[in-house]
Amino acid sequence: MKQDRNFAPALCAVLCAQAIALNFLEGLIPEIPFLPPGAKPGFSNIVTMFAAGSLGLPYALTIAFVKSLFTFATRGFTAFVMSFSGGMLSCLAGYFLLKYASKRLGYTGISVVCALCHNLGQLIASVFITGSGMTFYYAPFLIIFGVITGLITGVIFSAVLPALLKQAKHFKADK
Amino acid sequence: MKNKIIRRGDIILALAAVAAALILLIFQRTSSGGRVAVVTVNSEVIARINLDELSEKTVIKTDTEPSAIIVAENGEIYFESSGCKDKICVKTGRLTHKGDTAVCLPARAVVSISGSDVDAITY
Amino acid sequence: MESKKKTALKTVIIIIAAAAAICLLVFFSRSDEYTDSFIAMDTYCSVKLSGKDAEEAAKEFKEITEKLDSETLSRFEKGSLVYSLNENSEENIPESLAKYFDTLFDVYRQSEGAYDFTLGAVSDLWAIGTDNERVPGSDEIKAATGLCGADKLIYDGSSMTVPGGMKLDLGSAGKGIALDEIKAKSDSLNLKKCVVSLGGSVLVCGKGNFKVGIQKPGAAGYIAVINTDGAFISTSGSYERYFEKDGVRYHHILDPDTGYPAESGIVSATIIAQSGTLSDALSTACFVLGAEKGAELCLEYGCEGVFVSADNKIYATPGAAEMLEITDSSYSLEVIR
Repeated sequence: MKQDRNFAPALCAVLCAQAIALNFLEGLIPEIPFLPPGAKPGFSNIVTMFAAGSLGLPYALTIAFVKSLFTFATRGFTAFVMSFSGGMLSCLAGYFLLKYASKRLGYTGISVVCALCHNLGQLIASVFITGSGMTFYYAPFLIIFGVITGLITGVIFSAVLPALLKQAKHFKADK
Repeated sequence: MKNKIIRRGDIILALAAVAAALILLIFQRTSSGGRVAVVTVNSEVIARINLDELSEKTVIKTDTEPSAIIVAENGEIYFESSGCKDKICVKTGRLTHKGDTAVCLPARAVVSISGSDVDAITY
Repeated sequence: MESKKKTALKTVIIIIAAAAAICLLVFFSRSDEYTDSFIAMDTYCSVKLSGKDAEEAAKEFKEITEKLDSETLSRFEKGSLVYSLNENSEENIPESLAKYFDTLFDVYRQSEGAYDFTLGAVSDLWAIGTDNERVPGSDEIKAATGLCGADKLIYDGSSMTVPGGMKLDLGSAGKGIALDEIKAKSDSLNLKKCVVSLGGSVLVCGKGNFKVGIQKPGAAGYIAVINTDGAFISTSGSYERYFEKDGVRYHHILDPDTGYPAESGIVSATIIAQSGTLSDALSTACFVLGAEKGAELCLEYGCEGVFVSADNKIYATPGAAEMLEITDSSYSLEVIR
């Protein structure tokens, strides 16, 4: 995908909006009983993964950050820290895997790693927030949860990828 | 940005992650064997002491009136003395097993070793 | 290639299913337990609840216990029903309380006075657990016991008058009454499991089986476990509150007959019943009566009893023996036939 100067920021803005929309939808899911409060499936990883693959790391990180800001506005500081650390980590994982591991891992696998990193980031954040290692008690549940949501997100990602590519092309054509 | 939906690596990865989770879970379950004494004063937990990893004598003096002195040493915890009248807390003796509880009502202090094989104890 | 893909898909599905199963399994084994402890009725109380209303229930139970104590059962709280009764005024007994009094009167009669909730005058003499504890003179005790006896109460089912000098003391039944009230409340709440201990008087109810330990006399820990699917379990023990004078130990469970601490050869009596008031009152009655007579009394009420003697024997009614599991090998079980 060749990019010209205005194409990337414009697409990035739209992707931000989509990430926020997914984030919002996710917020409607009730708390999951045996996971730490605030743990979410991370469907917005679909968007950040796409951004990481098409626009590059800086844009993907921007989207993750904007998404966290939205969380801050709607669910407060704690949720922001959780979302930020989870988002950043999963973004980095997605970028490097798409770049270097595409031969070995399919979208599903990359998405699983992203989800796991997302949860790991949240876990680390919650350790800092609560000041106790007690939350590591949740680690096994978070891993299994991450695998399941990663698989689901990966399949969804593959399904919506043509649409995302078309959307991106549309931007380019407009220019 | 072209890739397959699923590759063999994905399956290995998912399996490895699930295996790691299970190992972690088993590890957590089996290592929870430690006896942790919880000291509560005025319904507030003021100390948690792992009796199995206790290296030196620990003394807690409650700042209540009357005051009670709680001692943890050699894998045991007990009320060493108390300013209360009935001394039920001191008479309870040394707590060593999970579920053991000693209470000093006048000092509003409760010492118990968390985790128990029974739901309640009648006395 | 196609079959390979299918195997891959199958594997993935199996992973998901297995992971989900583990999640559910662990989730149900951990359950949504809520524990709390508080001090009410002058004792240490603890609750362990699970179910949707667990947290709310814990609050309610605490309130019930505190309210029952301050408004009704406390001897020392001005304005409580028992306080007013002990000031010798005629008081109405609300219907909600009358059933408990009926039970207490009944145990008083069936135990031939071994259980008496009017011993306030005698226990005031001993004052065990307070700064004034002492061994009273025998004339003092004689005079005080003369003032006791639930049959001297003037009670018609709705109003009660306590004769001059007599003092009601519901310390031996208050926790049981509170547990009955708590049980009634718990039935209206969404609870899966309910374990409430008010100073050693225990209510266990809800789904599944429960294990209740019998305290080791004079030490931390337990000597035996009662397996039940729901019951009120109450214990009267001489090891809990006592003082020593000139090498003699004086405990707090008084024999209404003599006015002295009851000596019946046992150090604790545990009663398993379907009513808290009954289990609490019977445990005191049985402690005073001793193992054999106590077992007979239990039989009359369809309750089960476990009696621990000073020489490390555990006597149990046949029904109790079936529920019982001795966990301390220095104790041996004997069934009372």
